[in-house]
Order: sequence, then C-alpha cells, then structure tokens
Amino acid sequence: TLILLLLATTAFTFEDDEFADFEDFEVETENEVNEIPQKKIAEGEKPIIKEQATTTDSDTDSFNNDDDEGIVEDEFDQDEFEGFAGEIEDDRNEGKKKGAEPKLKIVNKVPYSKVLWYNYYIEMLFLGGLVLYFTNYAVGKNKNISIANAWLQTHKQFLEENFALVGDEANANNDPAYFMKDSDSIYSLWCSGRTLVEGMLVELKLIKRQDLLSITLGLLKKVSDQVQIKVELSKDSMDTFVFAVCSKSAARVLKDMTDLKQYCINVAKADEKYSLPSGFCVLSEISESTAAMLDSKVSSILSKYSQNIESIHISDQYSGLNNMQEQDQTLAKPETKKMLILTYNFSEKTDLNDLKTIMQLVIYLVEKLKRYKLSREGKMKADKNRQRVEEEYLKNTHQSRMEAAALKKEEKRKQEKEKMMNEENVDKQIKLEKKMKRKDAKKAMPKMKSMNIHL
Amino acid sequence: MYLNLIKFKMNTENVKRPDRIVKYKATAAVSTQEDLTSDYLNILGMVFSMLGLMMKLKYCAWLAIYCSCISFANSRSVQFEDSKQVLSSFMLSVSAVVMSYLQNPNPI
Repeated sequence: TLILLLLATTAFTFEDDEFADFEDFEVETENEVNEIPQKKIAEGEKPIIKEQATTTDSDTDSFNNDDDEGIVEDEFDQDEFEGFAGEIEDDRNEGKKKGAEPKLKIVNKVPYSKVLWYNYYIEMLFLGGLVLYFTNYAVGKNKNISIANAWLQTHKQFLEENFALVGDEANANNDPAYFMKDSDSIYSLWCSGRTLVEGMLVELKLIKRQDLLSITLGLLKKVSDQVQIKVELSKDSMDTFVFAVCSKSAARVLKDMTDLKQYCINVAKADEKYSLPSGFCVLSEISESTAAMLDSKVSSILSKYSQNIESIHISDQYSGLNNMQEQDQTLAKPETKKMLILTYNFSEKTDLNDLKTIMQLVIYLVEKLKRYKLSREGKMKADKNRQRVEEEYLKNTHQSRMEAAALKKEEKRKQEKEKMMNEENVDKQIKLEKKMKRKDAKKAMPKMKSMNIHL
Repeated sequence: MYLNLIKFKMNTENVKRPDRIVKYKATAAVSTQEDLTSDYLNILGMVFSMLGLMMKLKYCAWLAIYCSCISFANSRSVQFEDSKQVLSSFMLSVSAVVMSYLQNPNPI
C-alpha cells in the first residue's frame, strides 16, 4: 500500500507538471485561436482602415499629413511585421502577460475536451466483460461441483462396500469431506483399506466450465469430462507383466509412459484379434497375458462403452510419464509401482448409473489380476525383459557415472598441480614434481607388463 | 442387461481391510501433465500491466486485468504460492488501470 501511495503521489506531482505544460499549451492554442481570428478581423479591419486612411489621407492630405502618416506608420509597422513571428510573439507575450491573471479562468472553463460518463463506452464494455466472466466463473464452478457430487452419489454405496476408507476423514465440521479439490475443475477421491489394493485414487478431470477462455477454446477441439481411476496394487497381488489397451485418441499419451515404451510392442490389428471395438490398439509385453486380460467380459464391456473408455493400463513397472531429464540428474532408478489405471470419459448426458459398471470392471480386473499367474515361459520372458531394461539403465547411467568420476579425478589433479605451483621453496617444488612424474610413470607402466604376460 | 452380466459374487465382507488403510500422500508425480495455463497467463498479465503502466496504453491495462482473472480461475487452489502469485498479479493490473486513467482521464 505504501508503494501504491508513493506511486500515487508521484503520479499527482507528475500530473501537475503535465497539466502545467498542458495549460501553456492551451493558453497558446487559445491565444493562437483567438489570435488567428483577430488577425483575420484585424486584416479585415486594416484594409478598411487603410482605405479609410487612404481616403482620409486623400481628404486630409492637405490639412495634417503628419498625423495621418503617423497613424499610417503605426499600422504600416504592424503590416510590415504582419508575417513575422515576432509580431505574434509580441501578441502572445502581451496575451501571456495580459492573460497571466485570468489564465486560471480560461483553464477552468474548458480543462479538456467535454467528457461525460457515457463517452467511456469502451471501458463499460470491458467492465461488462469482467462481470460476465465472474458470473460464468460462479456458474461453472457450481456446475462442476454438482457433477462431482452426482458422480459420488452414484458410486458411494459401491465404494463403501469395497473400501474401508473413502475420501478424507471427516474434517472439522465432521461431515465426511470426500473430494479433495485440486482445482476448480479437478476433484480427486482417495479410497484405501482393501485386500490386494494399497489405495485407489479417482481423479475427476472435468471441463473447465468456470473459465470462459477454456470454454471458447473447448469449442474448437473435442473436450469432455474425464475420470481417471488409478489403483495401486499391493506387492503380491499382480504377476510381472505390462499391458495397455487404448483408443486411438489416447494412444499418443500412453506412448510416452516409460514402462510402455521400454517393455511393450504394439500388437498389429489387435481389435480383430481380441474382438475389441475398432480403432482400439493394444500394447503388450507378453501375448499370453494380453489374451488372459482381454477375456470375453472385458471385451464386451469395452465394446459397450467404446465411446467412454479411453484406456486401460496395467503394469508392474509403472513410473509415470518418462521424465528423461530428471532421470539423468538423480541417477537413481525411478521407483516403480504395480498400477492399474483406467481412464474413461463421460458427458453430462451419459447416465451416471451405467458408469457404475466401469467401476465394477475395475474391481473385477483387480480380482482377476490376483488369480492370474504367468506360465513358466511367460515368466522367463518377463524376467528377461526386466533384466534387459536394468542393464540398459545401468549402461546409460554408467556413462554419466564414469563422467562424474573422471571429473572428480581431474579436480584432484588440478589441485595437486596448483599446490605444486605455488610452493615457495624451490627444492620442495622439485620433490613434488618428481613425485608426480613417478606416479604418472607408474600408472603407465603396468599396462605394458600385463601385455608381456599375454605373449 | 449389462449389470447382471458381471455376476461375480461380491463377498464384500472379508474384502475390506480397515487395518491396512494407507494415507494419501500427494505424490508430485501424480500430476503428470502439468496445467500451465495459469502460470502463462500470470506472466502475460504482468507484461500487459507493465505496458499499461509504462506506455500508458489503456487497452493493455484492461487486458492485464483479464489475464489475471483467467489465471485466477485456472489456478490450482492447493499450492499456497499460486494464490499469492495470482493476488499480486491482480493488484498489479488494477494499479495499471488506475494509473493510466489518472494520467490521462480521456476515454480510450
């Protein structure tokens, strides 16, 4: 607030000077303005006077030539200087001198162009836009809240059957606060306390109805409310394989997942092979696990909800989107979790009750994963893959680890040399030098010796 | 029709494990695709309000207010520093409009 005050005061002082110039400018304009008409009038009169003068000259020539000439000379002088700024200068000075006192009067009369409140129509437009924006913000926010609550009402009973804890604990006014509000359009619900499952995070990513800009942008591209169910499976409840099935639109996003990129290959014409709705693609590591996963129940639900369900991603090496740059710095292997992620879209029109079957599908898949065991060769293949990825990872980081080690060695050498350089007495310096030379020589020597033995 | 398709019996009783409840730790990795519109518009708002203040362009001052409104609407209300940033951009843009109208009260 202090700064604002400062700003304001400077603005005022600045403003006075501004106006001061402004006033001079006005005064001049007025002077000139009145000046010009005067001149016009003056000229108008002058010729008349001149004519009179001349006429009077002619009449009074005979009587008192001097006076006429006198008069004539004065006017004549002015005429002479008519075109010169000086003349106007005098007038302006006179005007300024004369006008110095009444200047304020002039200023009050017309400080600046006539401005009435309805001239500010563009400002009103802007203010109207702001009011519109905030009403839409309130309406959109409430709409999102009502959708989240509607989703919750339909799924609450089912969730409470399956999970000991649904949503956050009851907060202060101990009505159970289910949803954690990440932003005005993203609500997340955490459920935990179930066999085979560490926890399940349901994230409702709704359309940003509260923001006019995203609504207008949303008209261009297809935007829909999305629910992402992330089930974190406990250690023993899933065998080691990676698998994903997704619609074409979601394929791009899924391709970025580190685990899918490292382990999976894209199964050609998967939709016919596994009787999936057309356009669905399958990324799988072990074909036998894919067949087991996409059994009749799953594929029938997929075909029924082909518009809604976007992707199902089951993986025991899940570590999120590939953040290559972070990986290099940390050098540590990104920690992987066993995850089942199901993403589906819905719109206001879809009846929320039939979305319940998708939630039941999630629980069904969790149960199925527990029962499903890889065959022997499947298991071997999976382990081989993990081994390969492990080595690949070590190879990448090995190189950077070597660089780090080399850097450290270099550092040490430089320090030694520096110590040797700024050594005062000469003989100590020579001793150090000799020691360094001997060390280098020793380092070079052993390689040759081992070669002899080979011979 | 589909509801009875999934006829697996839900022996719900022994499924729940109240003792093994895991608290939700807001893992940073969860927000995979960071939603950056709020930050971009915040910066844009700052630029516009600077323009409005320095060059006395009234349009820029008004656009600055719009930018800070939009970044407020998109802001992730969880992080605290986000709301501080949004508040400061609001104050900056409002001061830009006030200043530009103080210096030159004529309409645009």
